[in-house]
Amino acid sequence: MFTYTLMNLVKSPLRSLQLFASCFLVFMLILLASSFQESMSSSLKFNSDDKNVILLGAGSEESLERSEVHQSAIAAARTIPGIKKSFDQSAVSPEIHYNTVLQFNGVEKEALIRGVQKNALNVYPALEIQEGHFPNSGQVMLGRFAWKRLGLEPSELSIGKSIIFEKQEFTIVGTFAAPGTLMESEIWINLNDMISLTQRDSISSITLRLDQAEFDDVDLFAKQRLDLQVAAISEQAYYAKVSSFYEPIQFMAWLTALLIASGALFGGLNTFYAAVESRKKELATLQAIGFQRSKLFLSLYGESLLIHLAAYLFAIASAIYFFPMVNINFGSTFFSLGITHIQIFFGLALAIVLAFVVIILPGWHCLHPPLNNTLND
Amino acid sequence: MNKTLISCQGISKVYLKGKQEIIPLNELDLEIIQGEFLALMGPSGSGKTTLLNILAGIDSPSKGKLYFNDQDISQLKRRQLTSFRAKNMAYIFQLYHLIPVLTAYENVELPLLTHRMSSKERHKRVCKALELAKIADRADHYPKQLSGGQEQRVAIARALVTDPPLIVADEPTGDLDQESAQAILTLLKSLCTDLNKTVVMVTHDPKAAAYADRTLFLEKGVLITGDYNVVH
Repeated sequence: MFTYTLMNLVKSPLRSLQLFASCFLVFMLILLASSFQESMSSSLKFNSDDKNVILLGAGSEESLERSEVHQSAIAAARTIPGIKKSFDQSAVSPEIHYNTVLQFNGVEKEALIRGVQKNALNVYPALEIQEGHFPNSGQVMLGRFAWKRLGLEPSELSIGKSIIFEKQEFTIVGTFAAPGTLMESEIWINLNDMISLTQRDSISSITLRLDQAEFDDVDLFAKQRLDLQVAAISEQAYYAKVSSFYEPIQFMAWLTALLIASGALFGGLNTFYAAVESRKKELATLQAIGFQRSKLFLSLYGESLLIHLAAYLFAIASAIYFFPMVNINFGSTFFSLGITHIQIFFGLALAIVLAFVVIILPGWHCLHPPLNNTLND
Repeated sequence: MNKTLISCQGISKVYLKGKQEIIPLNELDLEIIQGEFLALMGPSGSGKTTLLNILAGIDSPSKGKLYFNDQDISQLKRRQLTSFRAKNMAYIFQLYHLIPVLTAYENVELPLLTHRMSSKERHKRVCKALELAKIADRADHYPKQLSGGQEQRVAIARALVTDPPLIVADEPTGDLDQESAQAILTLLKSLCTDLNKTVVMVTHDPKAAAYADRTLFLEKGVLITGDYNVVH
């Protein structure tokens, strides 16, 4: 019976290919949408640390880039009790987040740069300098995946190369890793350079790392010090907000993928229907010679399953190979598409279920009617 | 003396076409003995195919009893009928109904897949059936590579392979040229005389019916005459 199942697939290679293509398209679209959602969510999720609190300009809690905090808040923030200290230095990181255009070897690229002081290393313990050193004046340090976000080759951003920012030349002096965070695609520059080049008298935010203090302590500080005009938000809450900002986009991505996948699915259903319908008499003959309908349905399911599994395996292999090459630069977020074990497992389950679903209607239509009607049709 | 294989007692078939009742078979009584070659003739719509389908266990009578080897099969459910057919009956179609993606050998092997037996035993039976149907030399050919007469021989081999006591044939020579038709009818006849199979054949062709031991004429669902052929 397996030969029969297999030969039916080989008999009409064009039809089998058409079915395979429909299934492949469905799986690819679903993998793409789920990968987009998963990769975006995890990039924002990993970016946050439950020990970190951000002080932003009051009223601009939704965006680090738009926030403005007066520099006098830096010293005040250091006085909050219970902030983590390292060698008498409070883990307080004043920062400027700035979207600008940089020049790399004559090529202009839009980039997110962060002006920081060395103290940032105490605030972000996940960050590790892999090569070189923290930037001093006239120098920059790059996240290990900054080349991806900029669409350049890694060799174009190696240590010793220079970049032009606000007509000033900066030398690349280090690279850092901060696994799973957006920082890995950023360019870090000395805070004072940033202030003078952008002619700002304010900074974007102050990130604090808590030790004994709770978020409520920092929140209370922000509410009591009205003169500073700051608001406290936990890093987790901030990135959760950013994430929710992208929810409509994720929803649209899913909707688009599902609409196209539905089209492909209906195309596949139609082809499956026609494929089985054309064998209606053949299936009736098999019943006439003694095959039970359940066995014939299983054989049809076997055909459908083989095509779905082949399409699924091809889709997964393509996704594993091609997705990591897709870098998405989306506002303040940046991520590469990836495939997780959960997606692989659910994809397999979906293939098994879809193979069954597409065969129900044609199977019923061919196997349910009275045998004499089908044979004498 | 051969015993009765099939006994129909007052069988009727009623269909509903909209609100209209159609009765292709009406209170039919019939006995068919083991080893008999029976031809069913009649005009279109006379009920001969309906009767054939009921005898083959493909359809069930609306009324009456149908005994096969003294077992009442008129009330069997679809699943039970399928199992019953696999063991006791074989169907030969006018248009052969071979599975196009399988070779002649694999087509003949198909009915055996519903039975429990070793592959060695299966092979033995398939070869024997192909020999009996005189088509063993085309075992590896696909249906599209065979002539109509050869396809019908494969269909006959498929019918023989499970060694069923009853073979029903719906116009088995209707799509064949005269020479091939004669060869097929001779083969069907030999199944009765040499292997003691019971063959029930629907035909429009009096020449084909002449090969049968007995020819029954149906009209409007009623048996109008039935007699043993004198010569064939």
